[in-house]
Amino acid sequence: MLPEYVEKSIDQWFKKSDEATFFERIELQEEAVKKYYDKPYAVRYGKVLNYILERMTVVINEGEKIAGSVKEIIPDDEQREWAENLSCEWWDDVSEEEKQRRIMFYYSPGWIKRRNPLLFTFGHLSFDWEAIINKGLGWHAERAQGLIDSGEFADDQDKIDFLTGAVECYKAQTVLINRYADEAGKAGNDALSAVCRKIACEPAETLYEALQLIWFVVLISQKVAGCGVFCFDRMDQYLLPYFEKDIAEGRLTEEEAFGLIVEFFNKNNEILDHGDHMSQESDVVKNNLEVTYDDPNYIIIAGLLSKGVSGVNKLSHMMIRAQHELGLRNPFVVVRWHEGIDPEFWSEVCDSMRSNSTVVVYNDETMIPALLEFGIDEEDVYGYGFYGCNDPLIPKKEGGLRQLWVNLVWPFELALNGGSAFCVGAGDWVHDPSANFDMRDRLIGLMSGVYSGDTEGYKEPESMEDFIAGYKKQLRFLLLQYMEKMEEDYLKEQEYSRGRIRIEDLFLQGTIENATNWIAGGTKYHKITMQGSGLATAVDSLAAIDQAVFKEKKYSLDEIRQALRTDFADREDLRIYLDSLPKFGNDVEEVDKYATVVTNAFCDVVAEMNEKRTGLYTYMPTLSTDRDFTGMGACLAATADGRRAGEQISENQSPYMGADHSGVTALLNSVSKVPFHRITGGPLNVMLHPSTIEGDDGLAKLTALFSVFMKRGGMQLQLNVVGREELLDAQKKPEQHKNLCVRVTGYSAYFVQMGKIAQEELINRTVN
Amino acid sequence: MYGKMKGIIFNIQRFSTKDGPGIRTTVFLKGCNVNCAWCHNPESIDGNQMLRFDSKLCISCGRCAVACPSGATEMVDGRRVYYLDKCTLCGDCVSACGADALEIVGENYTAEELYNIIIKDEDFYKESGGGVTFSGGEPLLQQEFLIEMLRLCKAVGIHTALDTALNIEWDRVEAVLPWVDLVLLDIKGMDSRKHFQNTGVSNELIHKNAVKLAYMGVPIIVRMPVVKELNDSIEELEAAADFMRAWPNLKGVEILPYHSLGVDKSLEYEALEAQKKFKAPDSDFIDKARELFTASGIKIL
Repeated sequence: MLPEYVEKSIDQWFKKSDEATFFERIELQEEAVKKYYDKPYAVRYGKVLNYILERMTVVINEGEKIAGSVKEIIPDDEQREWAENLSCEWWDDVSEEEKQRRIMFYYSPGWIKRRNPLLFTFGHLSFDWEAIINKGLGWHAERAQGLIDSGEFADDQDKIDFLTGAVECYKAQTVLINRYADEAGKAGNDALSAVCRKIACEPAETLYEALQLIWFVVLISQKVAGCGVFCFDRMDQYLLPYFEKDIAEGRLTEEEAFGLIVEFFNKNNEILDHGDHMSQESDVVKNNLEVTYDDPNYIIIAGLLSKGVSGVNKLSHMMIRAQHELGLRNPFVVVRWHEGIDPEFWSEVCDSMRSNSTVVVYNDETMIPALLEFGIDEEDVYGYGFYGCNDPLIPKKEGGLRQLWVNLVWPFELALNGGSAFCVGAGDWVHDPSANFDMRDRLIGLMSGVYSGDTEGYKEPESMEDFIAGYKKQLRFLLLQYMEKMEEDYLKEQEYSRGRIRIEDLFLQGTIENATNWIAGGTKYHKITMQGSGLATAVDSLAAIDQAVFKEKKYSLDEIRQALRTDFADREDLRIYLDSLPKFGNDVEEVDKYATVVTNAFCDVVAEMNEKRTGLYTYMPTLSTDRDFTGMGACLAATADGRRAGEQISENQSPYMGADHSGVTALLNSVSKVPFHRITGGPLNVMLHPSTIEGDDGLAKLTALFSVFMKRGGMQLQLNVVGREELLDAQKKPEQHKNLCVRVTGYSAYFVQMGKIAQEELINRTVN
Repeated sequence: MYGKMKGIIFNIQRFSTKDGPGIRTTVFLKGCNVNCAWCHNPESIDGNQMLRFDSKLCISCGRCAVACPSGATEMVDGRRVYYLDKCTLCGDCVSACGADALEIVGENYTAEELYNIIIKDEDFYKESGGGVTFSGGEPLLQQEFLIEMLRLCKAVGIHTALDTALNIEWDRVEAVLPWVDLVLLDIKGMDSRKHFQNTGVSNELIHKNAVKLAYMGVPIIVRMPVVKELNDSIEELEAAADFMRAWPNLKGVEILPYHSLGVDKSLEYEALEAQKKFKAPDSDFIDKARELFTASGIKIL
């Protein structure tokens, strides 16, 4: 049973307008930026934040225990036009080079335009939540002030400005929380008033206070400062002492604790706007004026605390139950599985996944060795977590997301063509490696456009070993080239960011202590996630070359090369043959072995990059595509798996769309052959028809299915339990399926709010 | 030669969750001697390989005719014409087809090949208490192959289930039982006249065999497909309950209401139309059946 307030809030959320906007933020921010334009950057940042938090409307909803909401309006035409013009003022005259120096990395032009250059952050990280609740905002402000007063940084004005800005920011947050205390008092809500008054400065002492304090920090960081996509770190661990103390001292029943957790979870959903940010074709996304609007926040539960010690506790159970009963898209709960995990808890996790709640599973047994290989210290590795979309992190010890979607199919095309690419659009061969990883691709972290490789010393392959060597050579060429360019970029960004502050610098480990923002090196870890994309397409293509050219000797390599170059014009027979060859996902050893070849080649290059690097950043390999697998296929010629030119590449760790037809056990067997002990993240989408796993008996089967996958070395699992017929019906009658919540890639979405293209993609996945 | 015997299979379903306990692989053996009117897989009845053509998918590209080495397929006025007597079932037209309109139904496997597929999911069987189910068609029609398969599976401790209609000489049933851990027994009706109308065979032999089986010590789950107005009367249920009441090894009865979900959409028009006349029993049928069987001490699964 959900608390009454939460039921009401969910209902209202579905009913709210797509255009609802926290408009005050834009107005207040604009006033403040003008007012404080002459202050040093970090000080200005603090003043602007304070200006907004002193004035934004305090909203307390009737019946809620945990407060903290923003006032939304539906902007009229004039307001909308004014806001749209602002973004033109901010960004229109800024060159790509300058954007890159300032912000380094962003999703898309649509995403950037809502962001004032001052209050800029990409989010995607975890604060030190434990320090926030254990020490309180007052302590944080005093610590920063103490560092200024100590004289340690007296000869570095940038650092003094940074710390001064930080003090302003902490105090500004205290101001807003005190205003909540005042309002709650006026409304006669003495309990809430007392909690707010206390946590405005002091540490939390109860579960209620802890959740309320975290929520205020989230509200400010995300809705005001735009720091989207949080990881909440291991919430079942750091909240446990508060919960146990409350229970021991009789302040709280377990049911009341559950109610608070549910409210906190729902708050994350409450601040979301409608839509799906990856469905860029939809108007809801285009017209949104918010700085964060549908970003998922990740909560990590269970997992090992240290070797052989399980972290599953009462709160882990409660959080799974909360997720199960809520069925919302936010937060996104990551369960860390390990050998010997409590079977009752594991069964609850599977049951919750079966009900389409937003729960995914990661495997500690593969993640921990992978993180150790790619630069994480033993003392930190057990604390790993994730943020969207399925990227690993060491919470509180690193800053935001930096990534490259590594198109693993390009090296195949380049290996086949001796290092040159065949440009589908231009209808000719292209060879211009200097055009690889241009500014735009580095900015959005995507290999778009045509890529060229290394033509030196090319010899026509005489065996599959030769061909694989060519694949590895091209992959290595591309990634080392990327590293070289990125390292220069980061130096420029670090130079630019001196003395500047972002909201996350307030709550990471190392930034305040060193009076240095994370970008300039304040935190312990800096990494770039190398998102290996198109695994199955690369695997199927290599297996097809092996089969057709070297084993069966049915076609020559050149015959295949010519057919791919012309997109099978007049060679449909060859395409049908290639298409009919066995594919990844069907538990066929001759094909699946290439998953090991491709993954190891990829990891070897990434390991080499880590050895060669000179900058702050290390590199971590994942297998993940988000929804960019369509865009990443656009410039690729046809491939030897029978895929036509320009068609999508495979999604995340899945087989090529519809290629897995041997049942879900075959799928899981294939995927578990990937050497995941070297891969640090990325999702596997599994779709099951509800009828196959219904009832208690069905749950036992599902639990066994997932247990075996984990034991065999699978890394991640996320489930959609829905039949094609239901999805088709939802397209026809969206109003009857408004709460059908599906896992997309690293986030969930309400199916009926997704764009048409994204919907079709989901419908075409294999349902087992 | 051990493991070299061949069987003809028309489908292998992995992660099968409805044919016995746990996660299973269900192997459908081709060939059946009961001809149920509502059968979802009419191709499974004939015990031989056959070429299936789906005219709805055909794009009349003519590649099949080019590929055919034996002159069994040609294009006449832009349409595919097929001569059954010339076809060697080589499959060349199937690989050449660009529209997935052709398929060889039924594949020959050696026992070893089939075992190698079954064994791939051994971890899943062990974790879930599952195993392998041999279904059909009527698997007992390929009795020697079946025994070989059962022996291979039992030798490594895989749980085995046999899905049968028992419309076959008793000694052929008895011969496989030493390697069978569970029998899924299909009872398609008690009234012999209706049974004949619905399935084309009498149920006399089936009932005789069922009674013998009941005392062989092998656990039995009875499965009753129920179609509205064909075999969904209370009298049928009462007769079935009476019939099975005393069986010592009866684990329970599964009622399988007719549904159109599994109907192969590639069936030709007539066959699809024929399926439309079948309906699921009324929604309270299962409750009535549960009440009635429970009163006789029989569990509804």
